[in-house]
Amino acid sequence: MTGVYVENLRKEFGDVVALDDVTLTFPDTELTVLVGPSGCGKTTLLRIIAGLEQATQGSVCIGEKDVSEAPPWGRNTAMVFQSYALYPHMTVFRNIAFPLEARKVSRAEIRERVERTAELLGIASLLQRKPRALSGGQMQRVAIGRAIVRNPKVFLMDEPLSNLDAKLRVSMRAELKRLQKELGVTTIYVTHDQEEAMTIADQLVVMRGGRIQQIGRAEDVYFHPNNKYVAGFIGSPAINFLPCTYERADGELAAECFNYPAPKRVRQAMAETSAERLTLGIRPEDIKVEEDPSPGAIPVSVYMTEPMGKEILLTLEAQDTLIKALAPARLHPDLDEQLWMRFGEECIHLFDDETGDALV
Amino acid sequence: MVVALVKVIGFFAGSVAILFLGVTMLRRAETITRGRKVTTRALVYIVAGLYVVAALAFLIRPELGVVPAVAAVVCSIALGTVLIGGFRLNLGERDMAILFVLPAFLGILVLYYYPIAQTIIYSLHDLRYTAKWLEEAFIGFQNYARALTSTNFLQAAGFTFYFTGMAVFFEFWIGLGMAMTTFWVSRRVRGILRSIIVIPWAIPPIISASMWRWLFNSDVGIGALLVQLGLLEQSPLFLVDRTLAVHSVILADVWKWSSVMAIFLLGGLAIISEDIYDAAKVDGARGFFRFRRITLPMIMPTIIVAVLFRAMEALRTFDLVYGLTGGGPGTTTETLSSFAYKYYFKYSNFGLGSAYAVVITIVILALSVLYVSRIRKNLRFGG
Amino acid sequence: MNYQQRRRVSGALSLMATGLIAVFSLSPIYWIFITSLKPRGTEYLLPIELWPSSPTLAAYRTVLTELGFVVPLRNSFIVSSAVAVFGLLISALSAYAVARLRFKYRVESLLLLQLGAMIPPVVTIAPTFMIIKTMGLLRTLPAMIIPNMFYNTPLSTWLLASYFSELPFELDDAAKIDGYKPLQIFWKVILPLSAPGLFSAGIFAFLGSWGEFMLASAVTMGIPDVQTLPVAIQNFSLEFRYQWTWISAGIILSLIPVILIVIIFQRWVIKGLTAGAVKF
Repeated sequence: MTGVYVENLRKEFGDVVALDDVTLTFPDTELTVLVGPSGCGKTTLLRIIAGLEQATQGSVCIGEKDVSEAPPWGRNTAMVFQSYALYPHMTVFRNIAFPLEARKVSRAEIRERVERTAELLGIASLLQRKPRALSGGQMQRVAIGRAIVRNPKVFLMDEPLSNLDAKLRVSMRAELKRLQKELGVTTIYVTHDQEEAMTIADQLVVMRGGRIQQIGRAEDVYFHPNNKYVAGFIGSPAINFLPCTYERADGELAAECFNYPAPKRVRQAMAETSAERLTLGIRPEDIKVEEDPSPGAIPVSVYMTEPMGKEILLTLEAQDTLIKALAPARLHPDLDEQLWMRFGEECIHLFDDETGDALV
Repeated sequence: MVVALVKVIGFFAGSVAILFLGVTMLRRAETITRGRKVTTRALVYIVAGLYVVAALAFLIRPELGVVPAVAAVVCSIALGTVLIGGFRLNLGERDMAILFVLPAFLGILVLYYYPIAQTIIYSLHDLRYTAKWLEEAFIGFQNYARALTSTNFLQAAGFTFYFTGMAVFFEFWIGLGMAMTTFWVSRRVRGILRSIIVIPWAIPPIISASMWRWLFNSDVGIGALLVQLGLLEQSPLFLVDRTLAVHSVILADVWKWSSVMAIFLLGGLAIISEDIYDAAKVDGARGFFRFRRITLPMIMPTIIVAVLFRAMEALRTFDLVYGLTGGGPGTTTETLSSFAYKYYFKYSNFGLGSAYAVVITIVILALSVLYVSRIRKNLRFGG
Repeated sequence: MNYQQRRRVSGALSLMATGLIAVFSLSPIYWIFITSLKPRGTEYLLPIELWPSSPTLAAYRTVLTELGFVVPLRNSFIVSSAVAVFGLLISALSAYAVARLRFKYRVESLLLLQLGAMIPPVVTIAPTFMIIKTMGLLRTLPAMIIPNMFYNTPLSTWLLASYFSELPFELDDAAKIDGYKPLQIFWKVILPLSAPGLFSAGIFAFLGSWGEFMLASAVTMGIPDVQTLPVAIQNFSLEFRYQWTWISAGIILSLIPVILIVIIFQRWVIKGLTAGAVKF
């Protein structure tokens, strides 16, 4: 069983703290995605696990072994880089064969394994080419081939799809996921693209400022974000944040542009906290936009429209507050048209403005 | 002095301008007469021929070249004007490019190509105490025959090649070590280290030679230091003993020029992105394996160019020999260049000296063919 | 051995290597320096000391008065500066044409320039001497300025062409659309942006001509007033063959400007030297 376990990892670069007391389990055979903005520490964490960086404090275990002190070549991990890092002076064959040659595997076995891997990835016809004669997608596959040819215990991937164009990225994503499931190797995947993260992750880890914000399955993180940051980061289009207060007397949440009767769970949560300034979070896809008023609906006018094919992203204005909502395309409103919006109480996210934590 | 400089610059600028006018008009004439009657086209070729005549005349005696040159330019302008139907320039990008390149070209022509042509001419004549080859006997390849069979020549050639081979060999390894060390050390040390490495290169070669003359002093030089440290019995006669002298010259050269190798290789090493090394490390490659399979092959093109470049330079060595040993003891450390120089300025045998000079030039040019074939693609710039 | 220890050992080893390199590169200079501080005549005494027992600046005083150090230094500065400035101008023009203008024989022109640089100085010296004589420039500084300008051209042109080709081509196109002619584009757009490259090439030209000996010694014909530093030092060392304290002092004095330039402009020197190499 080779999962990866990091404990109390801390990494400092001079004055800058890149990782601050990170403890995390990467479950065996699962694809864990580290997602976050640039500088959040995800790549640093990956490199520490690979052995390319040394943690200031803390330990790394791969399987049962503590590898904190082991050099990169002794950890039985394989890495795919954003730039692919293919050896430019070697053919595709030798690129893929390199890790095996470093381990003094026999020529015959190398040949067999490389050819098998190339078949698997559909690049068998490219074996004699040099990297400069390959397209981005092809280089990608060679990089992956180089990683899987020696059956490592852990796959490490550092934004491997970032350099591909959009369409290719989406198709490669699915292929990678399928491949990972087939090979069943523990994989740690770093990306800054939250959509990519959501699509492929078995386990999602949202990071920011060197700390873990939330760990969980994609659905969990999406529907139950721990804090304001995660809620804002995950989900596209981004969640709407509306500052509000809780009127205990009325049992209402009072935002600038509307008052909303607080559902039971909110009332319960608010009873246990003395938080004053709150933020109401509501996702654009959870807002229903209608042409006729209904009870509890809030009047809005259309500020901007962005057609997106099967849906349309509306920016609605309610008393100087702008709210984004996703509506079906058949509703193509004009600018400044009067509409009504409402949302179900189960879709509300509430955050304490001071700590950022979710209250429900 | 300023006056003289201004005069020369003026003269040069003027020549460039006039030449440019002539060449441009001739080019116009050439484009216009393409596909036209043979006679008009022939005129273009005749005027072009005038330029060649001017160049040859210049070779015979500088003053002689002026008349054909002026004639060539005037005829070009005339021909162009007539064919175009008026003196119109309308300088396009091509023309401007020629204008830009012309000054450098003219200078190189006068200061490199003309001298080599002259020297070849000299080498074919029996010139002693005078360079007026028109008045002396044309002896064809006799100078070369004399040279190639003389012990002096063979000795000098032998030393030149041995010196080049040994010097370049050691300069490469030491340079490689220096270059790799600069990547090894921390950033703060790197700047200091690079300054240190470059200092020997910046020292004028003749001064470096004087320095080593003192260091190789048999009584109080490095030898004495080695004796003092108990490493040797007796201070060696660095510049007196024949074999030692040869290798002392090599050592002095290695000291000075390892830096250039180091910098060249540094450039080649710097291109390799960190990612490649990271990938290799994770792939399981330890230190030496990485060096052998990644670093070395990736800098091989740079190595070849650097070695060729340095070899061509080493073959021309003059300053070092002149300043360090004067060619001695006897003639053991004479290079072909220094010997040629001696024939010129000491024995005033311009003919023979030129033969020596031409021989070494041919060897260097042979190497440069190799060199150029490697750097050819790097001379292709931009769009 | 764990990471920390390995890092520390590696660090120590790298410092040792640095030390070795420093000793290799600097000890000859240091040796000369010590010699220059010895009292006259004592340079022939054993044992060899790390630092002279009775250091004195007498040698320097002698050199400064006898050698008239200031004059050769000034000459060298004038020659090298002029070579750098004018030579750069010419090289920059050709480099610009080769790198950014469209004409047929770009590679060939560059090759022709490079080929010239391969020719050993010994070949060019006699005819060049004749030309200078014919122009009546013997025993003057321009006699050294002008040839050196062109001796430097091949390398400068290559360096600058390398550098120019890195600048975005849209600049030229934008300027052309705005109605500028090539000369103006060169002068107003490209040149100001190329300061670092020009600087590197300039330093090269400066140092290259500073150390030139063969032509300088032939052309100055023993006239002290127009000698450049290397020639002066060489003649000095021949005239006072055995006064090594004096010669050493002269050498050290002549090295100071060079070493200063290298230390201050180290970055540009390296940039220049690698600019060509990098493209391989």
